[in-house]
Amino acid sequence: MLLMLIPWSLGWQRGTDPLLARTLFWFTGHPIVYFWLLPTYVSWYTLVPRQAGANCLATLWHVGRSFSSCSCLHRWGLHHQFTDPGIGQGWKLTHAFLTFAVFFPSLLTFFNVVASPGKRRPARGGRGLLAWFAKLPWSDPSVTAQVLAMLLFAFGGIGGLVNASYSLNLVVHNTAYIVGHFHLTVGTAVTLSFMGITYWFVPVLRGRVSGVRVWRWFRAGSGLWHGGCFRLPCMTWASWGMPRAR
Amino acid sequence: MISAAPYIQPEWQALRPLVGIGGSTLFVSALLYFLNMLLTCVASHAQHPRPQRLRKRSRALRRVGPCLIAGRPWLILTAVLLLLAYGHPLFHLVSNTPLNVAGMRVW
Repeated sequence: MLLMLIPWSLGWQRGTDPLLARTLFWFTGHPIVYFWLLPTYVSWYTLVPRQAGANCLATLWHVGRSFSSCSCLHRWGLHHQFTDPGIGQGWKLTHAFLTFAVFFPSLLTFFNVVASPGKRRPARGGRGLLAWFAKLPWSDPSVTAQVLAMLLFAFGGIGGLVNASYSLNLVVHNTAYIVGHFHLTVGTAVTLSFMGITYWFVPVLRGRVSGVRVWRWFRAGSGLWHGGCFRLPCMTWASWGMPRAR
Repeated sequence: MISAAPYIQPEWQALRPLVGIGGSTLFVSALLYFLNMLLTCVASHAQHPRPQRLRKRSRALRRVGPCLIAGRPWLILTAVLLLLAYGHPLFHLVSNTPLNVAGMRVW
């Protein structure tokens, strides 16, 4: 972008090119969201299992770490440009498949962050397939915020498959679905996780116990409301044709 | 002008109060969050228990193959895939772009 706009603004060239500008923008813009998401993944892999009294599943931890290392693979920005002319259909389809490929390590991440605390819970009274979930340390707002973030991120991730799809993308293009997707993933899951991390990190840094517990609960609850009660319906409303709002 | 397009249709107006309630709730909760952090830093006196150190290298880590631990193979894979996915489209665009769109000054 700077190589095009600065020379143009200085009068060194006659104009710009929207298609090239958009392509370079999404080449950069799509991976930028992962700069926010990666610290969240690191916390889900390392901090949350320890807070839940369990260890991360060993082998999958390393697969997840490698996934984090290669997260710059998330550069498949052409799925933002499925409706742009001037880019070959084959290359768009290539990016669609590569975006789908990201879903497999995401499934590993989901399995790992769920199975790690779940593996330990039966020893602490949580029996059955789901009962361990109630035995998580919900009194710790740091855990609460991050587990709620994981739950909402699952919906955001599944919704991302629609964005990546070469055909379904056209249905949700420029509708509130896109807004709902980004608010579920970055606006809710990442933000809630960052809040949860600081509920743990700031007291550790300062060596002092954190302040008013009920406020932290309110923060986590409002995040759940935001993601679950507004952004999920937002994606539903989009299926009725609700456009992106101004 | 794009920004003047009537994106909000009359049938969507009823949903606007939900946006207002949600935004207000988030605003209040954000204020409480920052106040909580501030109080933790300046007003809390109770000692926080010392956190356990993370183990540097677990036994399970040694069982995993080096290719999953090292970063270089993944970076090479990234570079190769990037070249495959973006090489031709970008080369085609850069070599064919006329750079003749006048643009629109916003200042």
